[in-house]
Amino acid sequence: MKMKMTSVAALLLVALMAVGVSYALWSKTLYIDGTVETGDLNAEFDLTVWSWEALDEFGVPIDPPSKVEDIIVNVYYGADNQEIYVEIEELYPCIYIHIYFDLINPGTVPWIVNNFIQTVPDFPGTVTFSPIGLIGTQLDPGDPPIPMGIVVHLDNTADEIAQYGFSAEIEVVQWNEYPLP
Amino acid sequence: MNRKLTATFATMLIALCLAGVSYAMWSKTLYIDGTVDTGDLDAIITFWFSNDPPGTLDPRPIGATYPAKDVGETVCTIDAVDPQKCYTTIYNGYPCYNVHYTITIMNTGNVAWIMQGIKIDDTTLPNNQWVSFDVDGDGEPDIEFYITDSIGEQVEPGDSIETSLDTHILQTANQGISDRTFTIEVLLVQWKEYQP
Repeated sequence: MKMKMTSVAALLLVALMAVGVSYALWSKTLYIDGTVETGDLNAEFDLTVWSWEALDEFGVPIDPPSKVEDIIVNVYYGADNQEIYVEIEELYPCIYIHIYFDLINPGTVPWIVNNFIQTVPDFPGTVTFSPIGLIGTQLDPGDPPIPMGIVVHLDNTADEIAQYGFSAEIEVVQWNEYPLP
Repeated sequence: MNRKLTATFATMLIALCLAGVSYAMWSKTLYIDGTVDTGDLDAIITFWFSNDPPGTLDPRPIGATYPAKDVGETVCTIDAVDPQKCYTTIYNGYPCYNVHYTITIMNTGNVAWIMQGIKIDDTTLPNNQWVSFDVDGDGEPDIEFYITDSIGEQVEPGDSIETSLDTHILQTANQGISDRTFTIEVLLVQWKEYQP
């Protein structure tokens, strides 16, 4: 009797194994492992080739250059390449200082200029930023830079040996978020 | 119930923070800060003298045959405190007394300037032309001035210009004029503002 029971148990075990194998053979499990690496939205000023020149009101270089040899123009980065300082020394009325630099997209995501805010409080003259219509300009990664310019001009209300300031902010946003609500 | 409300509020706050961070990460703001320091248009008189200082013979016109005498004299001084001013005094002047002044003006600023004009008692003096003045108010001219070829000349920073001024006391001048002061103003303008 004991032997008979043992045989039945063994038989059942074998049967179960057989059923199990056959079940496993008739199913598949597929796996998908996903990772997402986000891009880098970045915009910077590029001062590697910045330059300046002194022109008259007609856009003609001041001749002879000795007339403007005392004027000093410096453009340099602030805390990072997203801030620049422009310094003009010994400027006098009627000269137009043109400063040229670039705006680049060193990131991996296209962006569009969403906003441009210029602040020129009590400036005795004009500060003009270019290009005109910068808002809405899109720059893809690797595209040629956007050439930017600032033209600073003092009129005759400027005091001698004085200091005046101006500032601007450029906001860029991911290309498919433009315009921001 | 109260606990549930607190939990909901906390969850919403965290969600808002997360949304804010993600928004900020996908935009950039660039800054331009500019300063402009203006220049200095400046000048001082470095040299001012006449051709008849005290103790010298009076100047005579070229070709004059009469003997030279020391009758009149002209004193020139530069203000020790403000070298943008200078003074001259003619002592014992007489008709035909002619004095030649030389003045040197240096550009001590850092902006080029041009001599726009010279005024004597608010009357503009043209280049190379005698202009007479009635200094005692009797309706007759007493003295005349002449500026030579200086208006319109440009002077760069550090450079100087030497110009000359002539005075001539006229026959119509009355005797005994004293303490009559005239003011000579030399207007220097930034080179871009000069108007021929």
